[in-house]
Amino acid sequence: MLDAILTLLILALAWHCVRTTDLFEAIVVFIALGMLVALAWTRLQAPDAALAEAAIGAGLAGALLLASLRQMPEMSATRAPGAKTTGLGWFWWGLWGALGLALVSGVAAIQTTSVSLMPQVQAHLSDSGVTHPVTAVLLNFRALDTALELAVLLWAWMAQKQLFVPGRQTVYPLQGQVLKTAVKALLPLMVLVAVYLLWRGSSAPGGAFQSGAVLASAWLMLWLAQLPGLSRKQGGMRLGIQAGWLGGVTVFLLVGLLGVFQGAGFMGYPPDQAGAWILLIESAAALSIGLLLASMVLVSMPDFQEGTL
Amino acid sequence: MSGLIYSLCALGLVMIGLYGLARAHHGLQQLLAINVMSAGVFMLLLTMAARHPPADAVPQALVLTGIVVAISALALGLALLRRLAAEEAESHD
Repeated sequence: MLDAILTLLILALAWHCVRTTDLFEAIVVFIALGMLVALAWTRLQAPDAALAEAAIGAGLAGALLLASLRQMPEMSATRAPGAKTTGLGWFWWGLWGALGLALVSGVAAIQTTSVSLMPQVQAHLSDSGVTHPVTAVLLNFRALDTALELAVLLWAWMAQKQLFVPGRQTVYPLQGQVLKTAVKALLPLMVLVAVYLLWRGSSAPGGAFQSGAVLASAWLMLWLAQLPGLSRKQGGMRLGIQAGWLGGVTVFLLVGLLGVFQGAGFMGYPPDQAGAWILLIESAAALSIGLLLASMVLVSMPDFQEGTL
Repeated sequence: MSGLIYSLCALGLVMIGLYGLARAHHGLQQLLAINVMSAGVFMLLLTMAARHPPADAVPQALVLTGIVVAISALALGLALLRRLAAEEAESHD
């Protein structure tokens, strides 16, 4: 029953999100959709994915979209005057429907087959250095995927740096003693939560992604409250931030190379040391993910100036 | 039973996203539609993973990776749109 209601709500929100012509409304609906999708994923026994979706897919994506919205042309400016605003022609509706039917029959076909890699995962879990299956897959069995994913994140950030346009708009700074005090009080707690999530990842849902997302929001809060914090003008901070951007991929690949010399192959670790290496990689990865995600949101702010980062 | 419901939900999300992509008038709408589609793909993977308890960890790890790649793509798309808007504003001045 809960599943049915949740599904209907998700589909209704998704429909509204793509139908509405008010961009602000579409973004707000999209954030709500992300939250409900995260809820659905906990129902599908995927707490790791649900945590990441709520923090990254709904939270940080929402911040990115809202920050970018003010720098975009209005909806009407991109539409040719007099253009038809009603939906698709019959041909495209037909194509859309045919594709939907094909997808339904395809999914119905997979429903009857049963392939699961879980038995293999559980058989080798004791060699992986961690006891949580998802972390074992991410950081050990399929470590190359995760390393390349960090590389994709880094690449996307580098591309954004090249596309940077200095913000021309002035926005009212979020000032005030209440905000500053609240941020000062919350910041140590957020760092603590991030470290806890990272540590917990070896035996329970959690890990570098969720921890990185919390770190990213901590940094964003610091910046929004305009506390003297991480900005490039302050000496060693510049180097530190650059090292943080690159750290995740570098540490991952170096540990991966070390496996070659230890005879475990590229991206392999000897079972007795695996736990320690995974913790090292995860710490570097969480810091990298946090810095990269926060940097992506910071440059999308309407009043962001070059040299701040 | 709940597996079937969520499979249909995943298909619905993909189809709604596709429809949104086809009728989008604004770059931001296109990005949102693509992200709605990706939520559908992730949900289908997780539904497949949850068919037999305990849930399969491999598709779940794939989805975690996918979420980070999706936000990278979204951030890059938004950066392109911001740059485009700035260039257009400059050419109008």
